Amino acid sequence: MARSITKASAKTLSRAVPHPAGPHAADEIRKRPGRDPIEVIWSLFCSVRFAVVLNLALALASMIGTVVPQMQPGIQSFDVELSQFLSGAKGRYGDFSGLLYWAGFYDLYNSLWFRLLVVTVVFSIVMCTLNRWQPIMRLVRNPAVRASDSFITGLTEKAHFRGVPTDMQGAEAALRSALRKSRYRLLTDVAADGATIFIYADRDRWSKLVTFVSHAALVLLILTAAGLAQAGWREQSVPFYPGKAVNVGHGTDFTVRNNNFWIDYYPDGTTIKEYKENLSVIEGGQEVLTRTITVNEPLRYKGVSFYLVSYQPVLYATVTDSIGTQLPLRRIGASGLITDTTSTAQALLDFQFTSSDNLPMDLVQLPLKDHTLTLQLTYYQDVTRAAKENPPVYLLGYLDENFDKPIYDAFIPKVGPLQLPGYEQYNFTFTKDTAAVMEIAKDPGLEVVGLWFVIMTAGFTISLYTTFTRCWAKITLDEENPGAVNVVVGGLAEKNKVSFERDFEKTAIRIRDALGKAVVAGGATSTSNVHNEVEAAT
Amino acid sequence: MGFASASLGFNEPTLTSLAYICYLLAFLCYSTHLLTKGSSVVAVSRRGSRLAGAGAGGGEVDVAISDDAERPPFSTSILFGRAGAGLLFLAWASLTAAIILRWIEIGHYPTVTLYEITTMLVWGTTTISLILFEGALRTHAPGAFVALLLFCLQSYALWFIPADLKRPVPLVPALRSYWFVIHVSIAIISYSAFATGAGAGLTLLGKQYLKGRVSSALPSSAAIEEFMFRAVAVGFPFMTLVLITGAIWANEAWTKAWSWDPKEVWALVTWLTYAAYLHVRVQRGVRGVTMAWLSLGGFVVVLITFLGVNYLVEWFGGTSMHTYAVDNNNGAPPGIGVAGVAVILFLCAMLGLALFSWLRIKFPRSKSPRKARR
Ligand code: HEM
Repeated sequence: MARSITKASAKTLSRAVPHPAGPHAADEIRKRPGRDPIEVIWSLFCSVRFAVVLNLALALASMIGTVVPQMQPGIQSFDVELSQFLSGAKGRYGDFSGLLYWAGFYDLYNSLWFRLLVVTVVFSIVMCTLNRWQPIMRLVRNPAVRASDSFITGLTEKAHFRGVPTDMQGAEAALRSALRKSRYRLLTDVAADGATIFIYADRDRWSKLVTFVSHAALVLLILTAAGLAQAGWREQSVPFYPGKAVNVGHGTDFTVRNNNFWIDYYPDGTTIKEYKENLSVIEGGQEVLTRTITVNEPLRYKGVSFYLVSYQPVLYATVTDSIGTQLPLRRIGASGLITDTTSTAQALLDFQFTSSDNLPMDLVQLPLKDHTLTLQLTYYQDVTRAAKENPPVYLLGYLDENFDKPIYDAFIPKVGPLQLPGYEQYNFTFTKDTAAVMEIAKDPGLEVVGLWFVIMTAGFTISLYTTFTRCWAKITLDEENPGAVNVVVGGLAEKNKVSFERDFEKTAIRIRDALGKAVVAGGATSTSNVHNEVEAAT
Repeated sequence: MGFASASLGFNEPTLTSLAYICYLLAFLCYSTHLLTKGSSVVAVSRRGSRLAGAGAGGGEVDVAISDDAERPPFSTSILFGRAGAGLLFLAWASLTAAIILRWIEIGHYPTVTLYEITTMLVWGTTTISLILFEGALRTHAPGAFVALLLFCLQSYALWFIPADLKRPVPLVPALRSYWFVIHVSIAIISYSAFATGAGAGLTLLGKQYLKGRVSSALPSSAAIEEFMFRAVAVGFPFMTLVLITGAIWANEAWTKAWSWDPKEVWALVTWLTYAAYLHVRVQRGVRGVTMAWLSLGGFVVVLITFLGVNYLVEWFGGTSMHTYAVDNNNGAPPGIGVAGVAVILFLCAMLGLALFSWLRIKFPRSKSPRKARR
């Protein structure tokens, strides 16, 4: 054993007892679980086995969310939708449904236990890293240069060179040059009596440190993403009416106007190819930016993104008197976010037809001197008709605001304006158009998440394609052949051991050739002998 | 094979069918290669050839020579091995031509329908296994298993997917982005690498359980295990890139980088599964059949991510923005014929076996240096 070699003229080393730690250094050094609960938890979180189990648990939990239907985000605040969802779930899972709801399975990814699981994974990565920091730094900074014979012979890759007719220094120089050629970094140590030279060689030791970088990036990625999910804001399903500007709000000082929305079709004329919308950003009364966006190209302005998510039909109502002057109309809508139309003399009707029982509630009112005409739209179909034809609109007309005196109950005429009986001097026209439905969001800091992602990917790739490799060599005087030395070299790779066989073979041949040259240089007697054998081998 | 028009000629159906036949023939040739590889030949090329060391003492360099490095110059076995490789290459070439023809015909990257995506997986797996096994590692050993896997995958594409779903569909607006090409291509590379890893996994199982000729004709378990690791090491970084590019694309097209869509979740599950594979291997030092089962289990997850999410979403009533165009028969699930049942049973059996061996994983306590020093 190496212990028998006395500690002396160590050049760079601090540790005399060889500890050529293998890939399981951390496990060896890890404290045994004791009685102390803190220590038990500590060692649990430091164990890679636990980390693997956590990893798989996270995978399994995520899987469950794809086979159990998930609630739409935010549905909890809508009683009707929530109870609809729950009755659907009850039909599927029966009495279990309540339990599943209680355990958060219908909103799995936001449930407390799922978040706890993620926190546990993060905690495990951090603990594992902290626990491995010291042993790995020691492995990298203070490797054990001296290795015992039995350690080297226990390695799977090794080479013996016995009775090489050269001196210790010659052999050392030969080994050094050969190992350098194989890209190894070298440390040397000489035993006190000068009878043994130890060489330690390693390669790609920095790859051990890359793991820390990549896992740190992973932790930061999760933490940043979780933190940022709370920051920012999001407005879903915001209708952008043609020609109208929408105030973005949330402390922004600009509005965005939908100039035009249209649909491109494939040559067959029916298959939709692209939705397009032309938008202008208006800031301080000035138009500062105009751009056409599509589903895949949102508008980004001052950190706010405008996504085109869908569209919906809209209908304009206009009224003119006998000489063609537009009269102010009032619109009472079921939904908000509509500009006051009294001043624009144009009422915009906003429908979201999702089913036949979702009839519009919009009312259009024409204030006259002593009373108000009220029109209620009860049916509208978003179909394309010939150029001059009106869209199919079914109207109820009333003489007052209380729907007491009906004067009209029919579709509007197919062509030409609508005239209400008794009010023939007024022409009502209806024009169809399309509103874009947008999502407006501000997600700050996504770039930071992206940066962690890139660092992590680079780190993983480097880890997978580099192998921390070490060799230990020992040069001793050959007791049987005075004037000759024995050399033994052993190698250890953490991964890719089979490929390392070939790699080590190359190094061994390099060493053999270098030793051969040392013999030549030393002018030893058996030069030719060595060369013959080298040739025979290659 | 369920193509609408299958006239013989230089067209997509013919080329695809040619590839299909080549996979079968490649499997047969590779198998013959293994069965005829005499054990005496193997012994010669086995590890332990000694190189003479320098010096009078007759030192030894105890290094293994790679298993295939010292093949005898000519034998029936080698001939069959090369024929298998040639057929695999032929299958690759005709599938490449078929894909290019389809691409030109439909005018967009042909990865929209379930049929197209499965074909791409077959193509990618052929490419990677040719590069990795026949190219970089110079071995015919996993060929039989890889060819079998490819034959099964293409059988699914050709027989299980109904004919009307093989027809090309136009690109919907959400897919009209260059991220579509980038993201899907990376996914194909990644999943193909994992499929190649599964092929190596099957080889390792063959080594373990097919006693006799085949087993002795295969390289050492350690070597096969390392092939498998190489494949997974290709797949894993690409899988990470799949997640990144997916998030970037979703942030453009779906308003959110991550929205727990079933497809996204399964991609995450795939990533986590292979992370577990790597940790089990690298830190726990687990080797051998367990790794083969893990690799196959991981591949089942890949299949669900890549192809199965469609069915999951339909069967379990979820919603996904990510399904391939399968539901143009009015949202009804595709008819599950005998082939479908067979495929599902195969997947379940594999998953079951993976789970079984998973539960049996015995993490060895630290075993290297201390034992080695004794
Ligand atoms: C759950 C807690 C985790 C712990 C405790 C952990 C710990 C470790 C450790 C100790 C190493 C090996 C370092 C070395 O030997 O030099 C490692 C390597 C690695 N980890 Fe993790 N890790 C965790 C999660 C993850 C996750 C979630 C991923 C990615 C999905 C991941 C990907 C990797 C990769 C790619 C390697 C490199 C493997 C190699 O060197 O061949 N890890 N991890």
